[in-house]
Amino acid sequence: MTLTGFDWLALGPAAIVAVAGVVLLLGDAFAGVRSWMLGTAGSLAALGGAAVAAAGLSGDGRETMCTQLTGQEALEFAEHCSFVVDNLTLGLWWIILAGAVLVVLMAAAYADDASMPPGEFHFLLLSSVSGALTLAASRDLVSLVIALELVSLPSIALVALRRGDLPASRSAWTFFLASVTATAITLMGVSMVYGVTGSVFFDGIRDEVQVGAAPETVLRTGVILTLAGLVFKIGAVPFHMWVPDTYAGAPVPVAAYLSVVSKAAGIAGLLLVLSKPFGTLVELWSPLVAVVAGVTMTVGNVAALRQTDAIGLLAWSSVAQAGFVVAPMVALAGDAGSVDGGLPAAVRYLGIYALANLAAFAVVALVRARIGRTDIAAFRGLLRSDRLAGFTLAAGLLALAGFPPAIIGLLAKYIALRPVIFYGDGLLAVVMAVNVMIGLAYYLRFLAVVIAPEAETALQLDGSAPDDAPAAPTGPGTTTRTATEASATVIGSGYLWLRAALALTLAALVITSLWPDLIMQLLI
Amino acid sequence: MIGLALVIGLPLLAALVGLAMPNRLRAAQVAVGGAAATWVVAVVVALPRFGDAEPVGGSWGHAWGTLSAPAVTFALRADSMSAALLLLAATVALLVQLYSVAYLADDSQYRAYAAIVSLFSASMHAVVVANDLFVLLIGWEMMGVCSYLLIAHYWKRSDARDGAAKAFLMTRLADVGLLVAIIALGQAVDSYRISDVLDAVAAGELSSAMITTVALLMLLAAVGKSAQFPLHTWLPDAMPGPTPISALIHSATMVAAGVYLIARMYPLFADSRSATIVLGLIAIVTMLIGAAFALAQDDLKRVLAWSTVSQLAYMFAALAVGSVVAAIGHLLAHGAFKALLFLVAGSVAQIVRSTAFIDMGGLRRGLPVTFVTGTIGLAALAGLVPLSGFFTKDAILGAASDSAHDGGAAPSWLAWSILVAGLVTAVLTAAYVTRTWLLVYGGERRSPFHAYDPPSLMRWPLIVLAVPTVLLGIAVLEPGWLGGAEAEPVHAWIAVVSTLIVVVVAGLTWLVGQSGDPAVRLGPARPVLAREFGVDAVYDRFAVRPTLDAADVVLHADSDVVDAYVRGASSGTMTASRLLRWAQNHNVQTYITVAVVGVAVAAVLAGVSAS
Amino acid sequence: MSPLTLVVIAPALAALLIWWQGKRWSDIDVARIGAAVSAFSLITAWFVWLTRGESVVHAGETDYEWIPALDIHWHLGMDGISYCMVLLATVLSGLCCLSLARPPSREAAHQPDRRSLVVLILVIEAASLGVFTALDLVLFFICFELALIPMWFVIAWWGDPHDPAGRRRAATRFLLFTVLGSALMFVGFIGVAWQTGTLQIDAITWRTASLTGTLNTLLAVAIALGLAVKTPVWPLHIWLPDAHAKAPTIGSVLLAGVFLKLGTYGFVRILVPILPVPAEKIGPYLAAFGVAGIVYGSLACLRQSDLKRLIAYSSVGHMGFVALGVGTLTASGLSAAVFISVAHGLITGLLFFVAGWLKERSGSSELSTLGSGLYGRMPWLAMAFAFGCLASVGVPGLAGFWGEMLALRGAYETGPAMNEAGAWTLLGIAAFGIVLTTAYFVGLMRRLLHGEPVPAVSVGAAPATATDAGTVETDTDTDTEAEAEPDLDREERVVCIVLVVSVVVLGLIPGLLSGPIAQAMPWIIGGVR
Repeated sequence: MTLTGFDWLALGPAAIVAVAGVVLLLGDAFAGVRSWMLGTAGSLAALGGAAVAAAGLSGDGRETMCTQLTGQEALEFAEHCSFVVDNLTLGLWWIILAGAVLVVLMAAAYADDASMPPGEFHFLLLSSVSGALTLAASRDLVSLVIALELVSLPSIALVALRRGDLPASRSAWTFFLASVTATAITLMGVSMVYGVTGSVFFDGIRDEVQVGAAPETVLRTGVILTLAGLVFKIGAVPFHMWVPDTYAGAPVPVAAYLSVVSKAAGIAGLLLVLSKPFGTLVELWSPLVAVVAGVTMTVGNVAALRQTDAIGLLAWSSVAQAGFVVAPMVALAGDAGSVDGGLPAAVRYLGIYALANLAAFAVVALVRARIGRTDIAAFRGLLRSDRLAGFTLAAGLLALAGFPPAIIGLLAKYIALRPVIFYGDGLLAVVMAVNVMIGLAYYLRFLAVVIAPEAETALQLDGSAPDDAPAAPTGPGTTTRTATEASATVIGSGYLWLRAALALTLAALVITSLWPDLIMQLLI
Repeated sequence: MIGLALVIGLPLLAALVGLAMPNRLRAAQVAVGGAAATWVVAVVVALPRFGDAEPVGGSWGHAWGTLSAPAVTFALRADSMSAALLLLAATVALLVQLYSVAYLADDSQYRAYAAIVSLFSASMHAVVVANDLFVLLIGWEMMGVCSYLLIAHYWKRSDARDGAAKAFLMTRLADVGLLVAIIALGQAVDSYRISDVLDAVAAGELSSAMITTVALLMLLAAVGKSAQFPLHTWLPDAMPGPTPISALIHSATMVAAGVYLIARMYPLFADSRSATIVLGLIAIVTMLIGAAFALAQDDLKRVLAWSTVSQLAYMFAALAVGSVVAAIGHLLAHGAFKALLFLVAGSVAQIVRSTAFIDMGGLRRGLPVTFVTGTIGLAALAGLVPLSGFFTKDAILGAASDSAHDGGAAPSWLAWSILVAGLVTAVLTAAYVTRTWLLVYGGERRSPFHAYDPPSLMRWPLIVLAVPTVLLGIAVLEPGWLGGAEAEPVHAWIAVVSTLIVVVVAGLTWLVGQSGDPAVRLGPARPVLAREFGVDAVYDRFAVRPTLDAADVVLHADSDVVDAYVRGASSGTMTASRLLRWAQNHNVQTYITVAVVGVAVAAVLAGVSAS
Repeated sequence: MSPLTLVVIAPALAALLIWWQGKRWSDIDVARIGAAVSAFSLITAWFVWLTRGESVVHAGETDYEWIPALDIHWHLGMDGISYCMVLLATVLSGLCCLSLARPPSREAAHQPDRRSLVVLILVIEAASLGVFTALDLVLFFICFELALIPMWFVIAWWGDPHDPAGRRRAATRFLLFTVLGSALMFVGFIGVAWQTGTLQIDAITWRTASLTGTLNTLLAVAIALGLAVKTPVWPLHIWLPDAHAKAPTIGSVLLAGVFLKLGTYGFVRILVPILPVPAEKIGPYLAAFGVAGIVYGSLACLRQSDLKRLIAYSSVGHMGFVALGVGTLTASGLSAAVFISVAHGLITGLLFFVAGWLKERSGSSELSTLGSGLYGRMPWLAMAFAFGCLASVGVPGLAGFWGEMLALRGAYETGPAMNEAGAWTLLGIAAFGIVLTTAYFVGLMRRLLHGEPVPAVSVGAAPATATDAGTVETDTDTDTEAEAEPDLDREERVVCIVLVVSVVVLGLIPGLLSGPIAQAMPWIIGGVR
């Protein structure tokens, strides 16, 4: 078997990001420019470049790193490619890149935090991103697993990067152990599949499975084990328990990264594996997916009900949302690519979720940078004290809950429900409906705090109204003052980047709510 | 048509304008003026209708739209019968308005009162001239509302609000029957026109089952409105209302409507023997108990109320034996003298500041008008020759005996019993009338008061009403005024018997009455009658209580059963949430164990499902 | 921009404007603006209706491909039923705004600013107008949901000032109930769209013949559940009394007058046309639950001790008539559903306005604390209340009657869904329900309006002083009763007069409603017959 040449254009985006990461690290180490701003700028440039390169690829699908089977294998002459850029890949890339950009902007909150090394941070971030980009395009199990690790390991490091941050390192430890376990299980599964099908390429495996020569039990077990690792990345049941702990300890931008970009990578892997190599085993995994989806969203929502900390709430909500992303995958078989199929549904839901979630995390990052608290009470009356942040958070929460005026969020629920019902899984549909209700319960609790007039929530939320919040109804005067001076003093140079992140996400949410077709066309 | 619309529209207008009037005087002018104008129009519309004249009518359909076929239209129609009632209602309404101006001279809520009275008469007129069952229903129920509001005029008095509530509730219970009957008729005939319905009945298009059902339902409504047994208890309790209102309710409007409904729909009853029998039995029971109760009361207005009940039963009896003419005749006569009696009672009440017999007596001197007109009214009620009451009652009993002899709508056994009951009731009536006269006018004053004739505004209505009370009998002497068959004016032997009855019984009562209240001679029966057989207690025991208990049950069910599921669901969710939190113990071994176990289970399941 | 679109989004735009620029105007002006905008929508809708072409089913229809990728359209159209509902919604919203165009009561002094309240009213109005005119299932659903969260805030923030925790609980319960219901309804919608391949309601109704079988029955059940929660149909009514008891005056009015109608409208205008055959299957059950609700609600009212709760339960009873009407699936029954919806909106709106004003004056809606003899204490208010009660009883000649009559008639006709025995039994029970209704309203008037004028036990002072020091100077604990219990002021009288007049007019000229309803009936029950 021979390997045909590399199509650097196809590999471009991933490569650009990876190289940029290395450059930033070296620049930081040797050139001695220890400036966060530089890192931010560099990363943005790299991601932008990647985006441009990716845009150039849109339209015709490109394939590279293909192997031609020769010899007696060539009885059926075939060409299997490991790296394919098609609409699915591009859709996922957009999500990953956009997410990464916002994370970079958010990270500027640490601009003046000496214990957070800029070079390492951006290097790790970018390399993880490049892993995610690769994963979205990989079409064989080996590169899939490698890409998966390329996503995971740097993010583990990211969690623990902040020097002298004990809870962070604890979280990283949890994350690491869980991750290792998942990878081990996946590798076992992959090896089993390879053993019985004799191929690592998606196409090859699919052909073998269709032939049906492979021993059923082993194959099926292998498939299940392979899926495990991906399920871990998206933090679905039973691999969900690391999520809250890790998010709680990690720096907020990193938590945001985990909840969006690395989750997107996991989704990408799941979509690829289910739709391509194991597509014909639908009767095997489709019920499994349904169960995972239902249980995940229920567990996540129910657990989120009692959270009093914004990050904990968002962590559990991200678990629940993972369930909603997985749900449409029950309809991945057959013409999954069609408009009613599970493939576009999952990708679109993922995209909308990423946007909304990043909006929420960006505001949390801002507030934490300002007053060092992330308990929900800290957000009291945010809408009055800081309109941009307040609106962004409100829009994000509404979109996550799936309620107008954040129409895009409601459409997301519609998109996720449709394939499930079309596929005929009424039970899962009902479970989703119930979860929409449960979810609203805690999103609304948060929302009410955010847009509350101070006096109201001082009475409502917690008896301990802080000194700066007067009991009597007041014009925004006092609070805006405290807010502005806080933002002026605490954050400093990174402030503008952070505001930019807010403005971007808010604008995106508003525009897509009025003109949802924008995002629909972009994602497949 | 315009005239018919006016008799409804004018009082309506008067009511609205009257409410808007700035002060009491203006309101009075509007109310009386409106009533007078209405009366003029009524006379103009009504007079040409008597005899065998063709009925007039018309309809305005467009305004009402199509509530899906059959269409509901604003259709009016007047024949001799409606004309007669129209005259009665308009006249009484006018007189009551006049009387009230003086009677409620110092009442803060006169404006609302007068407006409601106008609305009241508008409703009655609507019932009388309606040719669409829904027009009739609207008038019918608006009357109920008006009487409710008027009975509760003295809303600070507990007996007033209880009486009002009772009246409204009982009549409304009955009205449901009318509504259902109308719906059924509409579906069967595919029209809500009364004329169409009657044509259909005449043409025999309706199944006998349908006819009986509808007839019984309408009978229910009539029984409620006219306070017949078993729904008779509301009328006496409605007495706390202002006395002019009692006059209005008892003579020309509320209770008259029940009789009118059956008369108007008579073909239905004629075609349904069972409905006729029920009608007759109700009439018998009611006329007897009404008269008996009247005999034992200690309150003037209450006596009059029960006498109304039993007199209305006479009319029902007339309908049962198939004589619409007799029924309407007695309705008119009764309307006249009962209105007179109540207005007299009002005057008396204003003098003695009470309506209890205990405070009266010796009201002969010093108030000639009140005395004379009152005596005439009572005599007419007793049915003394040659007053109106004599002739109309005679007509009813005559119809009964005719039908008893040569059959008719009612089976002859029913006719016989009606005849007997009618005569017995005549005895009782004569008795309580005489007793009433004795207790009010006879004897000496039992309480200090200054006797005087009321002011002219109250005096003239009495005088005016006395005229028909005396002369209305002539209407019966000139048969055919309602159109229809000639009937012999006076039935000789019945006339003799009933006259004898009146004279003898009155005489006996008089003698007994010389030594105090004749009612004492009732002995042990008196308290029983005074308690009116405790029918209310029965209703309370078997209808009201159970309903309220059921209400309690529902209230608790709502909070303890239905709501329990909700609370259970939410608390269950919260518990689950707590459990998940507990499982989240920051111990990574736990997490990994959970994960591995989960995957293992899935893998095993997959393997199993393979083989 | 098409006129109908203008009708829908005018309130929304006004809301945005007020939110951003509201500080320029006084609260009273803001409220007046809100009323004016509602009037504008009302007149525009009326205009659209008058200028519709002959034999046009949906007046002012406008269809724009909003989200091609998902085949979701901005598709509005107004048939006779929508027209009635639009009038109702605009009138009530306008009156709500108008009732805010006056200095806040002592109760409201420590509540969030009224500007935001007006904004929420306008958003709710826009949402309900969208529901009433949407011809695209997803658009319908978006509007259906859009109204919820504003309502949550109305109840949770402007609600009963004496019970912060309670009003929050009530609001959340209301929200979660309706959300669960609507989510199920959404599942049903998608199921229908899946089979018909379109989301356009009018398009679906032309191809409903194929929608039969168990699956569609299940879908119909899902949709019916969602609407039944909203309506509410017994036994899903449990959220209603709490919400009404804790909601502010205008909150109760909007709940009863507009929100409940979203449910009834959905039954008549969505469920029956798109799933006629399954609707016949569930019709009898719906009717039965409706009748159960009539009796249940009336009985609950008989022993209810809280005025606003009582009116809420009476709504359960009236909505029972709606369910009965819809369940019969006859032209009469469906017309009844619409007629009752409008009449109930106006009448119960009036009752809630008056009850709310009473509560604002005396600080409580407990009958035990409201005293008696209102006729003597506040004649105008008492008269308005008495009128509302009598109208609600369904006295012929007032708007409330025709709907009940039509519902009973529909039951008597025994449409495609029921047999005579069942239908007539229901009719009998419902008729009995009318008597019960009379009973509790008469009892209420007897207890509240009649009797010696006993002033209310004022519990208003305590929390007012406890919660805010800001109103101490204006605080009026030392008021004499006369000042504590003023009769209706100007705005209140205007509101009452508008409602009373419309109730009377609709009672005497039902054609004003039945005409438009009749216009819509053919395509509503086209699938049934």
